[in-house]
Amino acid sequence: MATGSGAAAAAADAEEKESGSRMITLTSNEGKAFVVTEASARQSATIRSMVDDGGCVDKGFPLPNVDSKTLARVIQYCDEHGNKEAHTVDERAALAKFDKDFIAELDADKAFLYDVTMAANYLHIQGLFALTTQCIADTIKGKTPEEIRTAFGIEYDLTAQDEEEIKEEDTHA
Amino acid sequence: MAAPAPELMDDVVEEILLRLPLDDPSCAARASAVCKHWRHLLADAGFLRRYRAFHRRRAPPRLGFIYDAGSPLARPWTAATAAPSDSGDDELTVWDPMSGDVQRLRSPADTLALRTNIEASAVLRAVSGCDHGGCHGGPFAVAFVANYVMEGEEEEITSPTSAWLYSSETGTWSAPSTVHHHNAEPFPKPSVLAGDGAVYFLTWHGRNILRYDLRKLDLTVIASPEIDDDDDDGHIFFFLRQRAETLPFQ
Repeated sequence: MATGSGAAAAAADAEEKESGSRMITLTSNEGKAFVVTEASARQSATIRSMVDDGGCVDKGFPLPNVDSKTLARVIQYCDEHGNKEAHTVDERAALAKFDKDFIAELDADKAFLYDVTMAANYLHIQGLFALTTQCIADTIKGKTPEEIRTAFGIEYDLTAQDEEEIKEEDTHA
Repeated sequence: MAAPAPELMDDVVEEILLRLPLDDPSCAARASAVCKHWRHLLADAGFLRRYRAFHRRRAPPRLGFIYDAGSPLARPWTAATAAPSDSGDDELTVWDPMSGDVQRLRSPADTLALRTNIEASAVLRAVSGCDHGGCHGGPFAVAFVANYVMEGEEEEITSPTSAWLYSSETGTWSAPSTVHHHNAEPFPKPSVLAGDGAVYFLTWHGRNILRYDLRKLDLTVIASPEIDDDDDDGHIFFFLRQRAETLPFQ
C-alpha cells in the first residue's frame, strides 16, 4: 500500500499493480545494499520524489550521507510504517507501540540517536524525524546550559555581553 | 558516548528547539544560555513564529505568564494572570516572556477609586486574522474582575463584583459589568479561557464560577449545586473542552 493521499495515492496504487510490488535498492556510504519494498522506501520524501520523477529505480539509490548501521535502523522504521496498515485503532496502537519501543532503544545511545536524526532529516522521513527530534528536545528539558553543552558537544562561545544579558534575564525569571 | 559534530547538528537544531515545551519557559531560557547559535535562534522572530505555530496546533492560546514578584515561579496557564505589580495593587503587570516585554496597566478599580477586597485577572491574546505569532508585544486584552466595597456600606452587605476588559489597542478599559451575589469574590487562581468566548474565574475557595463573556462584556455567576455549606474545602470544577475557537474580539 503506497502512502500519500488522493490522486497521488491512486496513481501510486495503479502503478504498484502494474509493476507488481517493486523493490528498491538503497546503498549506504559503505557500499552495502539494502533491498526494501517501494512502500517502505516511499516513507522518505527524498526517495519518493526521485521515484516519482521516473528516477533510476532499477539502479538503486546511493546514500552517501548514511552509514550501514544507521540505514539499517532507518529501514526498520520505514518497513514498519510503509508495509503495515494503519486504518484500525488496533493497527494504529501497534504502530504507536512500535514507535515507543523504537525511540526508547535509540534514546539509550545518544550518538546513534543523532545519526538517525540526521539521516531522517536528509531523507525527509517526517514521522521518524519528528520522533527523534522530540526525543532529543525531551532530554534538554531538565538540563542546565552546561549539561546541554556537554550532551551536544557544544563549545562555550558566549561573550561577556551575552553573559550579562543572561544574568539580567535570570533576575527577571 | 561520542558527541556529534556540532556543524552536523546545526541542520536539525532548530527542529529540536522547536519542540522544547511551551509550558516550561525556563527550558527555553536555559537553552538560550547554551551558545551563540542557540541564543540567536531562540531570539529570532522567524523562529518564534514557527515555535508558536508549532505549539498552537497542540496547545490552547496563551500570551503571558503569572509573574509573582514574591516567588521565583513563573507559571503558565490557559489564560494567564496579570500580576499585581511590585509598586502596589493599583497597577497590573503584563509580561510576555517570549519577547521580554513588560507593560504596566492601571487597574480599573484604581481608576474608579474602588476599595477592592480581592481581584483576579487574565491576559488574553487578541486574535482575529493576524495570529500575532511573530509580532512582539502584539495586541492583547486583559480581563479583570474585582470584588469591592461600596462607600458607606457595611461589611455584611453583599459587595459587588465587577469585570472589565482592557484592550491594548485602544489602551482603555471597558465599562464594568457587575453582579451582586453573596459568593462572587474572585479567587486569585488561574482562570480558564474557554472556546465559547468567555473567561471563567473561580470564586472564593472555588465555590462558584464567574463567567465573563468577552463578546457581550457580561459577567454572570454560575452557582454550583448546593453542597453541605459546612464543608469549607471548596469544590473542584472541570472545564471540558468541546471545540477550539478563536477569540471574538479584535
